[in-house]
Amino acid sequence: MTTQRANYLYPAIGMGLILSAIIFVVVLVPRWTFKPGQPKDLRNYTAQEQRGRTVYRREGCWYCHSMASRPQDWDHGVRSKASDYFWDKDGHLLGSERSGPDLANIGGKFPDEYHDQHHRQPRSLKPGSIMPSYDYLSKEEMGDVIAFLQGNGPNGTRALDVANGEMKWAFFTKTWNPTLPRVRTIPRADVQPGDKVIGEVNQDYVTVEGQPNGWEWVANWKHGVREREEIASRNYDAHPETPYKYTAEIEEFMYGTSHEAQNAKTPLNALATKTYANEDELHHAREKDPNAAAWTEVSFKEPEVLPTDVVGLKALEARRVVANQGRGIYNQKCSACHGLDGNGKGWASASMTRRAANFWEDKFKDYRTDTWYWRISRGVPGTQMPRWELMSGHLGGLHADQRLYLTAYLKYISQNKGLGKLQGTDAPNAGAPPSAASQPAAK
Amino acid sequence: MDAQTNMATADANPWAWFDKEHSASTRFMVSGAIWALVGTFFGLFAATEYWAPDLVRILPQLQFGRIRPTHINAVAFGFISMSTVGAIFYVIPELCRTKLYSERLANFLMIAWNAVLIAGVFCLTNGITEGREYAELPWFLDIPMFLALMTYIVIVWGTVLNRQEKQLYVTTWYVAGTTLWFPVVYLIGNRVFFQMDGIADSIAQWFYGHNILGLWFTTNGIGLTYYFLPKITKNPLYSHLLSIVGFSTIAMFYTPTGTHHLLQMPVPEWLKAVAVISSVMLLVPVMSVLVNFFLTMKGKWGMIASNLPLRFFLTAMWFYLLTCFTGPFQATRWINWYLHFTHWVVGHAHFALLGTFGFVAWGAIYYCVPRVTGRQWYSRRLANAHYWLSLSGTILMMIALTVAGLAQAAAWEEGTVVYRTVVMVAPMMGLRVLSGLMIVAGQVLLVYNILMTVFGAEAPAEAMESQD
Repeated sequence: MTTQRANYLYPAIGMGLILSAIIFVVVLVPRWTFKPGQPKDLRNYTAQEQRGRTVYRREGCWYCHSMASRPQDWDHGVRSKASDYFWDKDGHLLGSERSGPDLANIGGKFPDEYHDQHHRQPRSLKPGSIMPSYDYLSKEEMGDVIAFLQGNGPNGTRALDVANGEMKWAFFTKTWNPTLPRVRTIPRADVQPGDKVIGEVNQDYVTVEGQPNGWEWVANWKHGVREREEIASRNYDAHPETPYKYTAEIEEFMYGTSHEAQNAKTPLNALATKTYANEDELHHAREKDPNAAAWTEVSFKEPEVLPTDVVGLKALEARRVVANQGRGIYNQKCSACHGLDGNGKGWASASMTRRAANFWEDKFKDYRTDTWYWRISRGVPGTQMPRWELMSGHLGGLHADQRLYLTAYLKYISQNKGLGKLQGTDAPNAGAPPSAASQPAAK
Repeated sequence: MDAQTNMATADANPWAWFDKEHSASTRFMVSGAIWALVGTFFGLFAATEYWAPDLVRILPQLQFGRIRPTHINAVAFGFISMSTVGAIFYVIPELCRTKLYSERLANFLMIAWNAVLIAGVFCLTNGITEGREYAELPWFLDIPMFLALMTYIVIVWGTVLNRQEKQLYVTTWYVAGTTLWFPVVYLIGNRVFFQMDGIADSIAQWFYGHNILGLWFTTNGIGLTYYFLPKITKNPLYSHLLSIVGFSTIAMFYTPTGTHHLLQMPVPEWLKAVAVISSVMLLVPVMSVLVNFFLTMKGKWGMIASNLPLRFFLTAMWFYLLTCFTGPFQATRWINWYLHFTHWVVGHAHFALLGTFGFVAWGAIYYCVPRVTGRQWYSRRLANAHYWLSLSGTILMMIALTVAGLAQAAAWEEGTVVYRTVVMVAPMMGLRVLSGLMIVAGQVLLVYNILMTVFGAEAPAEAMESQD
């Protein structure tokens, strides 16, 4: 027995030594040799931000959001470096999966109010998002976690100016920190006689006392990170959008279906004054006239002079009804980014390097129905524009007919540069098709 | 074995409930089966929330970020760990031709283990968490868990040292070795004794995160398979030498791989290099194990048609082959560059834990329960249904997560924002819910079957394995 055991003893000791050596090398040596220094560009967490970190950990945000921007990541901001984690004294929150965007550089991207609303009901701002709703967080906890998020990254509140060690976005915290008096940052020219000016931001902007709201938050914010926005806008100008070109072959090849197939199913069919029976017919028509469209276009432009005949009035009314039908959908699904007026200034547009489209731009009034329809359906690659056809119903997707009503509304606002005659009327419930009573008017 | 005998022994010895032979093994496996149901149910719930995010709006306890760690801890420490420990408490005494060192201690261990896990479910759903993957249990549960692992050392080594059989079979090597190194890994991973700065913390955490797989599930699961395959097929093990090679290299190559979870993070490059090299070198222990198993099966492959435990073990080994071929490949820098953070990785974790060691645990339950209780399985049909539901569920999940992962990777590579890819993979997430439903349905059958077998009336004479 003893001799038998001795046979096992030496290999066992050997394996124990190997294991200890490996643990020594991969756990203890990095612990001693790998010590990133205190960063010059990042301050420590405040007590509130530290509490926010705890909430972030407790709610398991880190299961879906990574906190490390990698070299290969697009549009997640600068690459994370070791010293970025210097102040994380209570363990790491790097994450291991990315079901939501990376949050290493989230600070300063959105206003606090945006985060608040987004945490309470993410799908109100990002249709199709699968983030849980954190409505149950207390007001304090919500404030803490937002303060924590706003600290991250080179545009965050924790960023320091390397030159002088001061806070990079000092005015920014003044604007957002709920414990300080609320201020508005407005252009100098807009200062009213009654406003109490409490600080100067630069030669163009001053801060005054008051409660900022709505778009002004975004405007304030945008001004704060003007530098970044300029980069974005250079990028915007340097890469104009490729003109949309419809070729049935490409559509068929990429998506396995075409407008005509969709068109046959949809109520908006009634708006088309001429359709082609199939791809071949369209193809032949295009050989004669390259501009032939799948649907002959209906103009949504409000006429200068109202038509006098009953038929013309009815047709005009029908177009308004159809466009207004799309407006409800638009308000629910699109306005977070494109703005309620369609001018591209929705809340969520604030952070985008490719900003949400401004439908008042001239090019949009020439968009054809099929262009609109397929933009909505397929999204716009390289931007945040979702592919609406892909979202299943419970995630807030749009059915084909809803997309067509939306198209009608978008044509209306782009051709009229605004709400036009729809101004002041009620937007109907999103998604509900016009009643049978109003439908015949379209024909 | 009937109620009267039980009563009589209970009168004579107040510890009868604790001292009954094989009682700890049985109870560990029954607990394992119940935790399999609980754990997979939490997984299904999380998957459903992932697909239908507004499922629960008011109860923070049921929110995704809290259900996910509960799922992981319940299946990892509940289902797989408890089932394999139960099987080990049967296998090790068999191999040593002796009794379990202390049935009483083992029963206490069973109670403590369950208590820690139940407390863990309450803690994790209520947001009491350490926030490290696989190490979420709070410190006041880490300590009892560590003590439980110490008790486990005493039981296993007490049995091994009392052995009547001089030769140590490779299973004993694996199990006894695991008892010693896993507490070390656990201690480093849970770090109840000191805090670390952010990025250094991630190194230590992934050392633990990968080695809980490599030095606990793998060594226990492979060790058990080394026992069951030759036992069921009655073939001698193909090569004892190969098994020793596999055993000694697994500790060498598995241990440093953790940093391959951090390949694009700002951690030392040399550490990444060590991790990538050892990840690829993992093919050595993996291939030695699999070659050994598959050659041991020589001439007996037909048995999987009739022998259910064997079918579970071999399914597990095919999943192991798949896991361990994709594993080293996705740990290399360029593949990782592409696949990291996607659902592919989640899918990979499911092959390893559900496909491989989950199936080993199920196979072990199906093999051991009749032997430790002396009763036939209540229903062979339910057991079969459990197998097919679990297998199809696992394969469906594998398809869903792999496709989703590749879609995400391709989309990110061309610059698509995360928000759009979330919408893109939603149908795959729906498929995952379906696969989860199948797996949970399988576990319901397992739990019913095992409860009826162990506690129900004597089953009708329906022989489980006539061959062995």
